[in-house]
Amino acid sequence: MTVFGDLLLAGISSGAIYAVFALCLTMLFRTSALLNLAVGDFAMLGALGVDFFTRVDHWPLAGAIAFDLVLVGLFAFLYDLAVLRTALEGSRAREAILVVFFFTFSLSLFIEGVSQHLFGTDVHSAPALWSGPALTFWGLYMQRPAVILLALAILTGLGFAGYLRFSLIGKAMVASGDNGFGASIVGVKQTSFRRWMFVAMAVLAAIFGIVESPITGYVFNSGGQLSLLGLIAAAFAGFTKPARAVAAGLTIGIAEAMLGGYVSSQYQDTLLFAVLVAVILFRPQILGAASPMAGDQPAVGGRASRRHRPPVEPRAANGLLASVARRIVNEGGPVTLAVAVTLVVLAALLRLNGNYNDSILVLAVCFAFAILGMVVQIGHSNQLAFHQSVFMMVGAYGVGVLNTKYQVPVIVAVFIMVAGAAVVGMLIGSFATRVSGFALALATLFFSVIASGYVVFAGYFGQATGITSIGSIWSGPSYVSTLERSGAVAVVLLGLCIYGCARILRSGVGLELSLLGENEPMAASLGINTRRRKLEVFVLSAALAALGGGVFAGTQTLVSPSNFDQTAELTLLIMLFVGGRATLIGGLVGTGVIEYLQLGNGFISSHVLLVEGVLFTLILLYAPEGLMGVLRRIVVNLSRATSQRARHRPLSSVGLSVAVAGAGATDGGHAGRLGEARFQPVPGRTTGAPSLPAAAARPTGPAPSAAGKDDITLACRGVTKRFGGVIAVNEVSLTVRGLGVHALCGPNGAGKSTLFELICGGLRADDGEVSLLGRDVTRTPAFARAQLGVARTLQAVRLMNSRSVLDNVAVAAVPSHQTFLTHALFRSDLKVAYERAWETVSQLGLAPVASQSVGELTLEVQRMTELARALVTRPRILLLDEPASGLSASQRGRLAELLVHLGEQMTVVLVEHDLQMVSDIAKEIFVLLDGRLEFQGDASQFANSQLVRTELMGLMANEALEATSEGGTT
Amino acid sequence: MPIRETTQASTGTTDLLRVEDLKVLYGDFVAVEHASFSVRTGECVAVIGPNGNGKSSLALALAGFVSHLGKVQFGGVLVPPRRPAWMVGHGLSLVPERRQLFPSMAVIDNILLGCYGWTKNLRKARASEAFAEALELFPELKPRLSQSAGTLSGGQQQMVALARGLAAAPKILITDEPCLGLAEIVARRVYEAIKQLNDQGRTILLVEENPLRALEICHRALRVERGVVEEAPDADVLEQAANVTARPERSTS
Repeated sequence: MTVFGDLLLAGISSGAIYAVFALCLTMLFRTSALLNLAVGDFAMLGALGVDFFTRVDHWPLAGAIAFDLVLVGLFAFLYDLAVLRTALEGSRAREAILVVFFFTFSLSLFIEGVSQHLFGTDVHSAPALWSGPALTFWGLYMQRPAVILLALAILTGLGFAGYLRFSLIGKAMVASGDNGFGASIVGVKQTSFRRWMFVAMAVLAAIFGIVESPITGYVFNSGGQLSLLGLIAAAFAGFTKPARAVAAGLTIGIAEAMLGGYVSSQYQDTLLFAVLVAVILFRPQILGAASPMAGDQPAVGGRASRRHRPPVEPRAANGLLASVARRIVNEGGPVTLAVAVTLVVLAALLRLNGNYNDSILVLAVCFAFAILGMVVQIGHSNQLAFHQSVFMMVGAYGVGVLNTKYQVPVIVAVFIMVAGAAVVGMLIGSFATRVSGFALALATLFFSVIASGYVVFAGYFGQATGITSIGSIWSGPSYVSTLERSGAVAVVLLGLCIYGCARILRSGVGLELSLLGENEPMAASLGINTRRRKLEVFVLSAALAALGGGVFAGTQTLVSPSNFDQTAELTLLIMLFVGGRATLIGGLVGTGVIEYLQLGNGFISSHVLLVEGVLFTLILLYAPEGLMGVLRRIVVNLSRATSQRARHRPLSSVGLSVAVAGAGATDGGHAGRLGEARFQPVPGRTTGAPSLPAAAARPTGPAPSAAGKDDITLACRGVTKRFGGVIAVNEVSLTVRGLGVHALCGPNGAGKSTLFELICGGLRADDGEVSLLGRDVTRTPAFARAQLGVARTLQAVRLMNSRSVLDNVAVAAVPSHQTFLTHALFRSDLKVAYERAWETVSQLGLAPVASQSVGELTLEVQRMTELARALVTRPRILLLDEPASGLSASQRGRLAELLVHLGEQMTVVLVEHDLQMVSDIAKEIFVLLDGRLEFQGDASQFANSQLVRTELMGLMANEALEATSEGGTT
Repeated sequence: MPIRETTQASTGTTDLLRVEDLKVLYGDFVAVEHASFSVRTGECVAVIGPNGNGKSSLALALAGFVSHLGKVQFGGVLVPPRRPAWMVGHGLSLVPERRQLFPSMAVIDNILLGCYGWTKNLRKARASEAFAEALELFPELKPRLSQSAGTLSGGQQQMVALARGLAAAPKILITDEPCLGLAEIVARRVYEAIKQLNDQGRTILLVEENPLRALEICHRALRVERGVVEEAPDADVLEQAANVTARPERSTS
């Protein structure tokens, strides 16, 4: 019983620490969706600062505390002003998930760097506020600072809880966590909330640090661990309620103590984190709606995501310099890149033979393997996961064990471990990729803590010392040192991996991955199995990291846990972001730069944390595309400056006007030069056979199996969808038979788009069944429905804005979305995809703008691009959500003709407000009102229906108005 | 169809909101151009036009959410761009499209937060006239005040949104598509409430896709089409136009 009691008290004491940090994190996240991962560093700053003032400067305690808190607050305020304000507001606003994780990561580095400089590397603590022997409660001991801390935690937790409940400002804070846009509607200034909360939480953390430090003592880098512990507790409180955060912190503390007391004292942290991670992966909903990725805010948030820079093709660049530079920034082909990197690094290795710098180079090569995987996974597919250092550890330790204990040659062991890591990656990844975005990042954040926590105490793995005297990869000729010999093998392996990754990025799969990174639901709606692709890149990056680890073991000949802990993961991330995460060359350059900064001589390496912190922050703020991105920008500007004639191409109104204009009146020059066939519908759709887009004509595809003219292509039976208390679609049953144009009408908000989502699989029906082409697809995921032959466009155009028209269409034209990732190594499929895309694009008249990035083009062209993307999949059912909105009457007329032609090849279902157009072209019309299907019939029934006249009068009036205004202007 | 006359008694002679050559921008994308109009105190003005033509962008720009070029004067003062809190504080309250409530918070808290624009004091807000007025606007919400807003039906949520907008004690209330997705009977109720507010002298700018419905309660309408704002023809013309459309054939060119 006393054991239990002791453990309980110990748990409460340590739980109090987690609780207070969880509280700080929760309060800030609640109001500004910002995670302060430097919160532990503020605590450390508080404790070490007070210690410094009292011990070195002999200040009175109270004065030292007051001054220290003022300093911490001021620092937090300035940081907010200088960094967070720029990062979160204005035109430089960054993607939420970057801001959430990386800015405060780099702040943490910076603070640790500063305090290493100021306070040295010894353990210190602030003087105890309440000194004396431990207190006894019923025969159990509790240290005095722990009592204060516990009281403080509970009081502040309750205080904040009360504040949020019983004051209007507190309610406004809750509201801005609930719906940020809604909060600004009522006049909440979220930026000032963020600023003051950030400062307040920093000061609070410093207070907690001052109180707590006599128990554990702090060093310059103990902040990171504290932040992580607080983070996990806050995650379990769902980042919502302060009282819950305190409770979660205490619970976790107690659980930890119990695990330590009854299961294993060494592995208590490992076990605890493993359990917590499992909970996040299996129940991601505990993170709640608070997840910053969940809030899909309207455009007014101004947080535009412009991740990809347009592929740069500096035109008409003059001079050797420019052309060389262009080759570098555009990476060249896979072969060029791989061979170039291999040769350069090999030459450097041999040149440096025996020099200190060669060991830096070899280390950089080891990390470069992991970086390649990260470029594909994080940079390209936008799947933020932090598991690479763990898999490096798996590879390194595996090779070490196989070589030292079983005498397996290193090079064989490396490949065994890569295979092993792939299998383990598949197992872990199949859980980890259940979640994405915030939850994925948060869950994998703790992987390295778990793994290194285990290895440090495992005797089998040599505990903290690790495994020594591992063999080298290659013991070849003796005129170079061992390091160079193994290094050479490593470089060759790296070259092969670069080639492989470059092949993958430049294949159909690579295109799919970039769409996955841009917009996951959209990727799924085009038939891409997003879950599988996510798993594949997870496994790929795991295997590459393991290879890097294996090479590490085989070149360094010793591995220790400290090589692969959280710091290593952080280093990997810094390498990736500093170099440029979107390109392989960027990642490689980053690896070299950071490795050199860390291990080189002189001022920088002795202040490396500080330098990294500042560098990382600057990169995130001003060059999110990394050093290589900066270089690329310089080259582009350079070649622009040197190019003699500025090639200016009018962007204004090519597109639909080009697409379906009868005579080649507009922009004929381009179309003529490109010499491509253009789709020209024959005026008057009753006359003659129209020249259809070939994609629509399915020239190569199998004959439609829905051969019967009146077979049911699409059916809904009693489909219902609720959002909270709102019933968006209410027991809708409808059947679409055969080919032709079918229309879905209804006023705004009647549930038309929701019904579309239910049909495509973007949403799943609460009730009822959906069947497509005779198959029940109610439980089929969106990508599989798309593969059945359903394509769609959205009301709000969703394209990859920085990519070209052709790229956007080519994504959907990839021949098979079923291939494995590795297929890309052998066949790129890109040529086929681009040929198909070009065919459709030129037939829709988009050829003149095909290479321009979509973001620069007009709405009409974007609409046509989206249509092309849908058509290139050769769908049998085409769903169009308001294709005509925003188009002029004459453009609509041409669109209508196009739709009629398409309707002869496939089932077209469109949501439309233009009732005239609908009754002209649709063979069947459905009217949705308030989520219910209220009318179904052909055009003449539609025209004569009383319901239509009364309910859709407003829509008609709009058209009439438009007709009068157009009549007036022309 | 009842068309309301603008009388000297119900509307003042001063321009409450005056917009000159307004241009609304999302980055490089121009949503609205050359908008010049004014709204007098006590008026109820509709903003009509087909979907996706810039009506909501206009509303959002007026409320300070989207950057704009041109002159916007509110109550005789030139408004600073992109300052939503300033706009609410000075009496321009937006009831946005799709309501934007706080779904996990109680209905009463949602409405109370409407007061945030003019006070940060909970007690003051509770005791205020604006809050009382907001609560009375829809008596049918009374039994649901402690329920969380996300569990309400669409119509009830719209009522809460209007009440929240009213709690800001606005000089002008902008409602964006208040009947979006509502059953006809509920939409009538919402419209009735808006008309009642206007009858009590409150200035209303009503964004609505359906011009006929809008003109049942509005004095006049502005028409937004492909980003261009112009004064709409009067109600008779609209109604006539609607009747013309109902015929099966129509020639556009």
